[in-house]
Amino acid sequence: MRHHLKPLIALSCTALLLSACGESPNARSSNTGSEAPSELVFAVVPTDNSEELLSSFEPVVAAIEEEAGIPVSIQAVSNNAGVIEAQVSQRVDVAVYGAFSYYLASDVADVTPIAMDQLTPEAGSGAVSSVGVTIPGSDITSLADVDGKDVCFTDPASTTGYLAAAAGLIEEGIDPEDDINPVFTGSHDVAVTQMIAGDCDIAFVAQTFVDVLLPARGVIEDGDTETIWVSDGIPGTPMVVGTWLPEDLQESIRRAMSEYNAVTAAEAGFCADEDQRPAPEQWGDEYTDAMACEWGGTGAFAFEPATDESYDPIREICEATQAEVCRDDS
Amino acid sequence: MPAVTASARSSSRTPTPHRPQRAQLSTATWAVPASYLVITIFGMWWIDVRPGVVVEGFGDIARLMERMVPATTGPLPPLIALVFETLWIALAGTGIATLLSIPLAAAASRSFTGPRWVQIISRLVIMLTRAVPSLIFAIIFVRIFGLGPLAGALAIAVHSIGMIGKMMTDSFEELSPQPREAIQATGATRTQTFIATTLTRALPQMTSFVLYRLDINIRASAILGLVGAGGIGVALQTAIGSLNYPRAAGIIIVIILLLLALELVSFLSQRSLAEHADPSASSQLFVASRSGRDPGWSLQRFGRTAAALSAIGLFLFALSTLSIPFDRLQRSGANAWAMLSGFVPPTISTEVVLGIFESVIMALTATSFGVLIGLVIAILSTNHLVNIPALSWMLRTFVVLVRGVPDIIYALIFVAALGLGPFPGFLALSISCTALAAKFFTDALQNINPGPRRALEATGAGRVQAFVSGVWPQFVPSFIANSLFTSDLALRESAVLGIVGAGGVGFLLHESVTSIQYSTTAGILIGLVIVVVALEQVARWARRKVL
Repeated sequence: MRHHLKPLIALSCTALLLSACGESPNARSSNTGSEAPSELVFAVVPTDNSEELLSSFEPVVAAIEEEAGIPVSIQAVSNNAGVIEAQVSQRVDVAVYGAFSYYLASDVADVTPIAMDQLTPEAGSGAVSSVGVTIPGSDITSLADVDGKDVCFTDPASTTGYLAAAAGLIEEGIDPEDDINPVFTGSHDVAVTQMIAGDCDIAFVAQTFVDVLLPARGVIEDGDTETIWVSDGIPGTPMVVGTWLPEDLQESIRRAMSEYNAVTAAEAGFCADEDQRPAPEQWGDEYTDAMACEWGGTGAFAFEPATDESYDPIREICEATQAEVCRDDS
Repeated sequence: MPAVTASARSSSRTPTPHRPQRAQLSTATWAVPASYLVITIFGMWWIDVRPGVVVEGFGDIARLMERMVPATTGPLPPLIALVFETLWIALAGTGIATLLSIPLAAAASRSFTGPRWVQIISRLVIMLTRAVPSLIFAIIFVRIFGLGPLAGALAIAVHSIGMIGKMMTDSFEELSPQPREAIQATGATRTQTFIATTLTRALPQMTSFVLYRLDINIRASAILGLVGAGGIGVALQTAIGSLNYPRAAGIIIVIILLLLALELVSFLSQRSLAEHADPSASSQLFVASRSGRDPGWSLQRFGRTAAALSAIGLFLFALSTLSIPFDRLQRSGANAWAMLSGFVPPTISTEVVLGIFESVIMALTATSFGVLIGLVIAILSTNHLVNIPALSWMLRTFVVLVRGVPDIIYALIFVAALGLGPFPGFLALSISCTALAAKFFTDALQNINPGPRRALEATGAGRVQAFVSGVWPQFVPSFIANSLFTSDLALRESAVLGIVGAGGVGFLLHESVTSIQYSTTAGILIGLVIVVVALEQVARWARRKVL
């Protein structure tokens, strides 16, 4: 053993030296919400139509740092329950997740929405809809025809992929649990591709998938699907803050969100030149030739003010469906 | 990790059927533990492990646990139906994997005497199926076979080949070569030799890890939710996703009961197959009979055969529950091809490299903790050092309980206590590593040849002396191999880290799949394959040194 000791000691020393050379990249300041925090923790969960989550939120984080005057650390998390539990224990200060996640969090955590996605300069443009799609020539032409069919949904806790559609079916007098054969596919793209492949007669997914995302990614082409039903608008992705934060800090986050949009953020230098993109056509003539930052995971134009009331449509859907996932957990 | 201080000097003058252990310490026995130590020190700094922070979060943990009681299952009949659906899918997948693994492992093992290219291809297949997470197979098979239990069972089967094949290869290599050489010398073919010597002697170990893989596959049924195969995973994910913790707790209890039943089956099968230790166990698989030609049916052998037949029957029944949609197969070829072509060209960004680096560091650090605690649990639950049956049962039950709780629950508990980041992810990972290691080590210790220990005890050696000289040297190869393998599994379990925002590769993989960026997915897979191959090379080298 003796002649192995030298390299062993050398190795251990190297490791110790490495560890001693400064703070870990993951070091956290441990503060819980009592007094003014020295750092804000910002968590984002992928929503149905988000991409490149971390990099697309960097300009938003930069704007909040600017207004609040304290550093913000951002974490991407793949599961909403994790973020909600961290909010319950006041260890996540700001979060962006799906509308239904806010509905769940509002029951158990001291949080309030301050802003929501706005995809174009038009107010309310962040609203999402659920659509029912079939293959062209299907004998399903309206919701009433869905009775007794195989139906692809995404996930029992998805507003666009299940709840809104279930509420629509209930209005038609169809019980979404007993009168149809529901199949949960886990994601919007799988629901659509499996419907086309013939695993089910109709798929209910978020509208952006059928209109924009799947065609853009080359998964489906024009004429592959026919939309037979569109739900009412469902409020867009909320930005939620903990009400345990000092008033002025909450206010500064609100200010950061209302003061800037994707274009003015680029002007203010919240994103590097190489990360900017030309403003998309949907933003109108006013912004032709303007450069914009990636403003959140959905490529939004801005965040418009939101309150708890903005999310009443989700509560109404839950009232209507009495779905298992809507249970009040208090 | 304890370094081996006592080398075995089995001073037996008479020839024994077991090779005398080497008297000197090989490089691997200290180099592997030493590198783990160094990486762990670095990892603890990288992850920013601070025990004090956990203590601060106790109140939050308690508040979260309170919301889990009283556990409710909802209406039982549909839940029981889901449990069986899950069980059939897992059984079919594990069975298919086992059947495919036997020839693969035989060809991949060092003692294979056939063509070299067959050996290389078999090793590659085993390595690739292990490196690719089952989530990816599930996505691909859904495109090909459509939604339903078939896609789920196949995803499980292909991914399981990686583990079952690898462990079979290891156990084939650990066998002493004399019987094989003797049978070969009689002019038996390669297949005959394999079945007569290697397969029959490796059977106890094979049974134990096939049953263990079944246990893993039942727990992995959350994956099946992805492919619309139903099963209990969907119900569990729905309960957690909607914060319905009492219901989640109820479902977990049902899963744990199923796993406990499996553990009992596993224990009984080991006791009746292993030619060793327990006074009540049969000392030989095949008892000599009065006449030379008659194989001799003892009660034990009769029981073993009946058990084997019923296992085969269950497997066939499970297969029959999978419906194979032949008409779909023709229609979906192009569809699947289009999807697979999305995987090229793979893109490997710095983000991916960093993510994999972080995952590897965390997996190795979590392994060190898991292996140490797991070793203690294993020694306490086998009868080498401590022979208290009650304690052994308590520990076995405890390990099953710990294993039965899904990683996501641990991650949630630690997130509530610590906030987001690598630390809670690392703690969740350490727990699953502990359970893995405890299980592997317990099985390995159970299967150790009791001869040397009994001989030492007969000379009046104490328990500790007998353990250090008669048990430990035999255990070292599987100890090192299983430690490395635990890291290997931990790397794939790091998907759990995405749940708590621990970065790592788990979140990136998840995001690339959900946003259909398959070229990134392919890049991550290539990175994972490289790491798994590297770990495999280290493990092979270590085994060569200590075997």
